Amino acid sequence: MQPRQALIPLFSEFIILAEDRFSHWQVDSRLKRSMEERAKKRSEVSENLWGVYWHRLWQQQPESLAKGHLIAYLQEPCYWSAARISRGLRNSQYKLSDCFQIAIAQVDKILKGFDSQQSSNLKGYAAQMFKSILTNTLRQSQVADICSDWALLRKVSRKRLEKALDEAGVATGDREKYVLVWTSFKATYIPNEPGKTRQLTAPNAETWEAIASLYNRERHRQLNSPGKECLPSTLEKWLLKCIAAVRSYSYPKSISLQQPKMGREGEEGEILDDLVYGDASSSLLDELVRQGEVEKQQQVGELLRRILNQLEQEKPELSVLLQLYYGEQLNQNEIGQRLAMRQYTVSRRLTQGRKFLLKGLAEWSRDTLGIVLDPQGIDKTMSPMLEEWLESHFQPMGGGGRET
Amino acid sequence: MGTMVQEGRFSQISPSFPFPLPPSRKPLSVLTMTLTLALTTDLWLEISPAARDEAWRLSQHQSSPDSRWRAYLNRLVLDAVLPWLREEWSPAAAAWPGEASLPSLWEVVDGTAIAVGEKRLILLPTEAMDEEELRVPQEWLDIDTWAADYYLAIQVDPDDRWVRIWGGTTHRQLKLEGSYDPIDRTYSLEGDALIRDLSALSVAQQLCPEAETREAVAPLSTPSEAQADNLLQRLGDSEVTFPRLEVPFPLWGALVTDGGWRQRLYRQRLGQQPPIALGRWFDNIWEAGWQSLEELFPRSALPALASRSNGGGESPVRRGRSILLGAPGEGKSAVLLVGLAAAGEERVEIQVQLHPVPDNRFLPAGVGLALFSEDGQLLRSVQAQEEDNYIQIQRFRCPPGFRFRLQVDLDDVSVSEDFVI
Repeated sequence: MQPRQALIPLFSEFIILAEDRFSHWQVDSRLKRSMEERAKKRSEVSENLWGVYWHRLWQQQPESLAKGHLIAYLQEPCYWSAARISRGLRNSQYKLSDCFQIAIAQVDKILKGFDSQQSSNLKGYAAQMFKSILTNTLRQSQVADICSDWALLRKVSRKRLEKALDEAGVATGDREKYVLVWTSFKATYIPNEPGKTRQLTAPNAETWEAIASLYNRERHRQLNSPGKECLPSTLEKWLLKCIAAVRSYSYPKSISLQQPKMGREGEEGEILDDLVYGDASSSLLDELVRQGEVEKQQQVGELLRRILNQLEQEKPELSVLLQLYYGEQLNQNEIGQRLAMRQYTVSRRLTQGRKFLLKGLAEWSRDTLGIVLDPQGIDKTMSPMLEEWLESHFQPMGGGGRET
Repeated sequence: MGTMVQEGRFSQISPSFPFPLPPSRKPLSVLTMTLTLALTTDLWLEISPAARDEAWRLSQHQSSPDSRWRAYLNRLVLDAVLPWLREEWSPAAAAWPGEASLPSLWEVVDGTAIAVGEKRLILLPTEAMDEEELRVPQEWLDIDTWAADYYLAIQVDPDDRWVRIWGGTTHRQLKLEGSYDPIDRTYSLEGDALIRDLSALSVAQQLCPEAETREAVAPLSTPSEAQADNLLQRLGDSEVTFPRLEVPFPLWGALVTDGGWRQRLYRQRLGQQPPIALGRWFDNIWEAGWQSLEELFPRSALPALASRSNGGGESPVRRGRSILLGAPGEGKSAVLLVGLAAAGEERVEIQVQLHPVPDNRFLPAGVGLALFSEDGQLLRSVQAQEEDNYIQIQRFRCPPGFRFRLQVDLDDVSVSEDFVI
């Protein structure tokens, strides 16, 4: 895949996949014109600032061209996370194009979660989010594959069950009953061996009686409308419905991609005027430039390089793993094989290595930038910053890794 | 207008189990696929086969399938996470309030507390493999003595033997941003709102330990003994599946945080014997199996019991019973003697001795005698050497209502008796 270098394409072109690999970049002419207009004589504005700029506009007008620009911008982090994960899952049913679609479908969630006041690195944030969204989705799907129906009921959180029931069209009034049956089921019927939770078979008659008796006792307290006493057969029907809902919810559906409404030529309504910011003469772009984000990023880069050096001196066993994970893009399994090490050790050492860097970054932010530290701040701002730096430092040719 | 992405060939999986794969593709092993998807921001820890078996064995001492399973998952997580916490956070990290309190705690509530220096962490295990939410029982937030600083969301897979810490939060965040469910009395936070990078928590712990992690919690008022007795009667029935939901929370909270009451609740739910009521010995009422000295030692005089010394000059009421610590005929037995004397102001003085059985001069070597408080803390202990005529626990005084346990052990075998004044 050829990474885009120039600014305009970065915010106006989309990936076309063919035969499950990158084929070419497709230009969206409307987006292209929109960028060209705005970028006239604004060569000092970095890609990061453009990202923040479009994000702020998107927040004002979620269905405007701003969204199209952002989705175009995020094509690459999406592609790299999809490529990397699908490569590790070779021989599974998830191909690159599947992963790409699963990831890009969540772009709204990513945009909503990004706080441009805290961080100016939308791409870095998105890269981390795409990875975690993909791994989470694939993991759910795997769980559904390997578990029996009754075992699957134990492997979901209450919130997930509720979401699945909603999606399956269960009325809100009935939902509480289904959740109570599920609670009663889980409290009554547990695996009888320490390591066999996936093959749980259907409850027997005696267990159904016990589940029903618990449900009937608890409904007075746990339901808003206790309803009538229920027979085991009714409860079994409800639980089967829960199972079906959960299964269906566990597999990513055929996704219709959220395309911004591009409209036709000549419809001016969607082209936004530049947001006026502060006094009449300044614009959002000016303000962002003034905030000096670029400089800070350079400082951070230098700092992290220094700390990494320190890590290489003091704890080379940790830095070598960072190189393998971020540089050679091996997954934790592959690293384990390469170094003849258990994956659990790989996980611990990667965590330790990252922590060393994160701590250095946090200390510097506190001492030099005067930032008051707190757990959420470190997680939401510095962690993605570190993650993005690690990816780009070990991959100086501006990519996200190996092709299959 | 160009489409953004060409329709990928999207594989739909038929939702039936097991599903058929085309013969050309072998499925990845489950564990391989799971670990392939591991991110650097979460932490995976292993459970050894021995640890899993031990956790299973230990968790059997609960009253119901539900509490057994809860104890099992919590134990798995504790065993996997504590060594890591000791390495990463502090070597002083330890289960709170103590190992002895865990079974009674897990009998009724989910979660395991760990004390790390001045801070407290709650481990919340779950079998759920999605990341939709973290649910925390109200006990860990709204009881002032139990409230903690950090709460960790931990997935457990007993089949493949791993735990995964995938997120965390603070007391403050849970109270301010979490949603409270009054039906099951939990606070929950969406997965997206959690702190997802474990290292962020640990760095925060080191660099800004003074950061506000806790909201204020008002103390609960303590019920009277009579109220507590009442509650224990009601909730001590193991048919009550969710005792924590039965009575108003402030009452429940005060009950469960008292180590003694909680231990009684636990034992009652397990159907264990009520304790021996020592106070009634003064009225010549005692439990079966406890005999007078004359009955226990019909032929011998016992020089060891010549001591008479409790200031008030009253001779103590003494009873004893034989304790068997091995197969009959192996010579592994002893006689436990408990003496009770009034000690002014309604208090009593207790004397505890362990003697060899009649016709033996010495106790079995290595036999131990220990005194425990009602919530399982070891108070005193003594052990017999090669040729000891008897051993004793230093006399102690206690008020009426005081509860304790005596334990006699030899090698692997131990026998306990519970007492109340």
